[in-house]
Amino acid sequence: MSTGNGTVTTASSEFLSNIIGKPVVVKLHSGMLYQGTLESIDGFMNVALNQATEHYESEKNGLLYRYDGDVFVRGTQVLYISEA
Amino acid sequence: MSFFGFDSSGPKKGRRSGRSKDEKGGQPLDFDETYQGFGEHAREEDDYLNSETFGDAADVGTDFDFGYGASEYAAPTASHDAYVDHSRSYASAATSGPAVAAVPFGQPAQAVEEHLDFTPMESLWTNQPVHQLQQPQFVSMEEIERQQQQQQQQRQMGMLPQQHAYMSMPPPQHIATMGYGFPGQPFVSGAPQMTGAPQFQDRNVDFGVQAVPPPPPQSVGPRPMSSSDMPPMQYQQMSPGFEQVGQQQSHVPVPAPVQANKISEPHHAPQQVFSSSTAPSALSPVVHQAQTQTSPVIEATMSPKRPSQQPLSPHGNYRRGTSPRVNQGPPYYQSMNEPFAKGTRRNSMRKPQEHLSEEDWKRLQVRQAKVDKILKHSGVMTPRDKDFITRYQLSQIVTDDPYNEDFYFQVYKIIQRGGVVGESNKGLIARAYLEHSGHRLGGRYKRADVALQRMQSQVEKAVTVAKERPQKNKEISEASKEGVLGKISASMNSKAPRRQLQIPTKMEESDETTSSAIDDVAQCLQGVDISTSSSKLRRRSSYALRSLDQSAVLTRSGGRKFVLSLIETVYSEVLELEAQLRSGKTIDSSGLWEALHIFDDAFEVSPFISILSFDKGVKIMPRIINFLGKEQKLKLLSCFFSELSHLNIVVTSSYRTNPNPTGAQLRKIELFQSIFLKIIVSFLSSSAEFMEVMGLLLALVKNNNVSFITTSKIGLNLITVLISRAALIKQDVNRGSILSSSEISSWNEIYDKLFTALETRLSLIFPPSEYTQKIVSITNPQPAPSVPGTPLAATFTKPSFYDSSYIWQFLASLALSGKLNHQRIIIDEVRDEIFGTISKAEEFTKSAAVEDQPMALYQRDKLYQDLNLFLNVMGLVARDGEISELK
Amino acid sequence: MSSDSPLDLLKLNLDEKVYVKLRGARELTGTLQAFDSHCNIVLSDAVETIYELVENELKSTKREAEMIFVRGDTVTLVTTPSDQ
Repeated sequence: MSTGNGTVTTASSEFLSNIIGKPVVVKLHSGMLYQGTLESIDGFMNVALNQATEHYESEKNGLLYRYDGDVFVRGTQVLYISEA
Repeated sequence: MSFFGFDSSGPKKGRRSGRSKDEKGGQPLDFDETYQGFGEHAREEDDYLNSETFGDAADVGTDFDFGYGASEYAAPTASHDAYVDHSRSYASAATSGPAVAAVPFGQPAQAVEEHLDFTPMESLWTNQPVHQLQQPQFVSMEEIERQQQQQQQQRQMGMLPQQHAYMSMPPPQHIATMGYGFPGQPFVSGAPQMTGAPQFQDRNVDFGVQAVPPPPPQSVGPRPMSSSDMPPMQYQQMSPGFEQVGQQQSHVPVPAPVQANKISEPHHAPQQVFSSSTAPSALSPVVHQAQTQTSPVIEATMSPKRPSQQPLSPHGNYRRGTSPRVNQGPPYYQSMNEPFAKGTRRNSMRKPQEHLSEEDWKRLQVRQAKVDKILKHSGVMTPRDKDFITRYQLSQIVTDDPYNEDFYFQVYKIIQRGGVVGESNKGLIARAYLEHSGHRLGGRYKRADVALQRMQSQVEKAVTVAKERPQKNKEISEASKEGVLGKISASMNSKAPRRQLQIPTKMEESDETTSSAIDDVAQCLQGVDISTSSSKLRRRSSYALRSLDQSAVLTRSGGRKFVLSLIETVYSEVLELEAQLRSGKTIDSSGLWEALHIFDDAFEVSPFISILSFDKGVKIMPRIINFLGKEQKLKLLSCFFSELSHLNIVVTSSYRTNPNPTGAQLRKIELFQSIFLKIIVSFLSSSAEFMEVMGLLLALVKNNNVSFITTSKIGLNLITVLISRAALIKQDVNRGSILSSSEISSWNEIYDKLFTALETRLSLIFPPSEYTQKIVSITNPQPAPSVPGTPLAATFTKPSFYDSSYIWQFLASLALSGKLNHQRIIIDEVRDEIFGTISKAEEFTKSAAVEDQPMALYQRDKLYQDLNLFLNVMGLVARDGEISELK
Repeated sequence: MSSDSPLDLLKLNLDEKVYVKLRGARELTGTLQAFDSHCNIVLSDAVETIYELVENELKSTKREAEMIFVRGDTVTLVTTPSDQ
């Protein structure tokens, strides 16, 4: 019975902290796919990507956009994050 | 079934249960030892509850009915013996030995009543004869009928039989009744207590109608009720009664020597409590028993749901009104559920009930049976039970040591030790129970407060824990909301979104200082003018910025993010310093100085220069300067001038690098000029020595492509500020007395350097007309085509032109500081511009419409004014389209 | 110096031009004046771009606002505009 602040460090959060600095793929509920270097991530699944490219559903569907700066992706929109 | 995880399948000898094995030592735990005192008197067959409590190989079955299911309430209760069985307890067993415990006192039924004091939790521990469970679970209607008839007959015989009838009410009801709250209990309890004492047998006398064949329903009152139902006088009556009971006690023959006066007759318990209230050594069996009317049972079995808690008035009086849980007495009276109670009440109203017809009785019984069925499980847990459990859950939540708070674990521990400790076990268990039961009034008299406090503190703890949670979240969100410019979003009190995961942050400093050397070289090669390379270790290519690619500069100064975070740091440093200043503390600006990274050789371009690339970096500058000493300011400006070419604003304001400026950029330029230029001017004019100005100028000339810088408005302004200040000081000093020769020579040297850099390119400081026109169109957007009907005045706009005054100011100060040959060169180079300006000025008046004349005249004058600023330096003046000698 | 939270990225961009991608193919550019953990955002000098498919042609309309409050739940992405 944990009386902590309600947040738990689990394998999943460990995964997320381990992939910081690595190339990742972030898919949103809308189907947009972002590929880039994971700058940072927080417990709300907010994500910061560097050198991100934008695709729809899959990289195979072509490049929609290339972001020069860092990209902030809102956590609530994130469907999944995976190591690229 | 085993509460404590005992191996209940262990070998048994004779006893039905209680043979548990100490797991570690393998020592058999004998209940004779564990329950010493009782074991001596209790018969084997009376240990029926042990199996329930500690497990028994004799299978209870998976469908064991904790709620006293149908088996119990439907059990034939016709025979008197059955009740006796009901009433069995360790205590009674111990005291009276053979089954019929209370009989010796002559009031079997009443005694039974006393012992029939079922409370739900207790049932787990005691009171429930195993063999009862094995009785047929269902009883036919006929049986019920027969029963009822019997009861009726008994009732006719008198009060005692009638009580039997109540007794026959199934235990489930008793349980259910608990749910109806305590207030009623005291009231109910009165009766048994009275009846318990022999002399009260004829209590009818005392209580009159009300008490007479005390139809249980009557006293029950379907709801938690109220001692008000009972005439106050009864209280009065009772006290004496109790006293008598107490006195009587000594006369009662006590079969059990060990427990002599304690166990003898439960009815006496309350009295004992009263008398012992001043000596609350709770562990002594006496007190325990005294505390509970049903005490013997409890003591022996440690019922977790102990009805006990005889509330004791300070004066030792039995005050029902104030102490609601006085007595758990025979709860079943009150236990009547409402419908049932009504039904029976009707009966009682109609007393003598014998008059009821057979059919009526039948109907009544059927109805009762139905109701009972319905209510079988209702109120299985009393509020107290729930409270009890809640308390444990609560304590489990807030405790640091769950084991310590766990009653069962405590008891288990004691029992584990039991084999050795023996005698004191009972007391230990009792204490464990008391300490953990947390009864509102405390298990023991004196512990009442402790238990209460404990409960309260637990609740408090739980509440604070709950409170802290959202606060933590709030802190997190607040921290993230703190804006660089002190702009904090309005929703400070809004709840932060739910954090789903805690992600451990690894504070690895990611090395973002990617020095893209190849990039730089490429950019250098593109540069048109290659000026003297700096002698500094860090190579600062000053001219390479042909494009507005600011990211290149940013990259070389640590990256955009780095610079932005520097700005954040600077802001927080400044805010802190300002707070210190307000509070009158001594100020240490070293942190701020560090944050500015002015001489940070780790980067090709000083991060400070990049800080100035951001508006917010520029905006904070005046506040930074406030906290810097003169030395620091000088260093800062020296850094600034050395790397002027990298300055984003210079690049932006140069017509060569940014031929198509946007409105936003122009605003940026404006901002920079109004903020940072002002800082420089005020510093130079207030505190800078001549040589310091020279140093800054040298830094600029030596490290930068001066020609490029002069193509930008900002750059030109900066140079103008420096040389004009130098000229002013020089004049001042001249007037005063002397400028040292070294100063003069250094000035000449630096000026020559500057002039050389500019020579042949002076005309380039004038932006091309396309550029100026763009700027004009941006700063003075063409008015939208006038809507018909709009007044003419609305469409009137002053014909605007590019303000070149800054250029003439520069040329003027350059000429002022130079020698005659310098001035000649200047005039030669900008001659076209001079005449161009004159002709432009003349055009204004010629081309302007009549109504625009005043404006045109003003503009013409403005142009001449700017031009003459420069011409006057050389003793010339431009007027009316001509240049003449200044008179 | 790395920012340890994606929201720091927004913090760094305070008073800077940002590009905000919203749900439903809407986008905004403007100067980031304020934000919170919900990604509620205040932009000044904001330009909203609305994309519409009119007769199979993608048309974009722009709308300007001096100051605009964006409710966080529609925000999907925040970054620095490419022309900065």
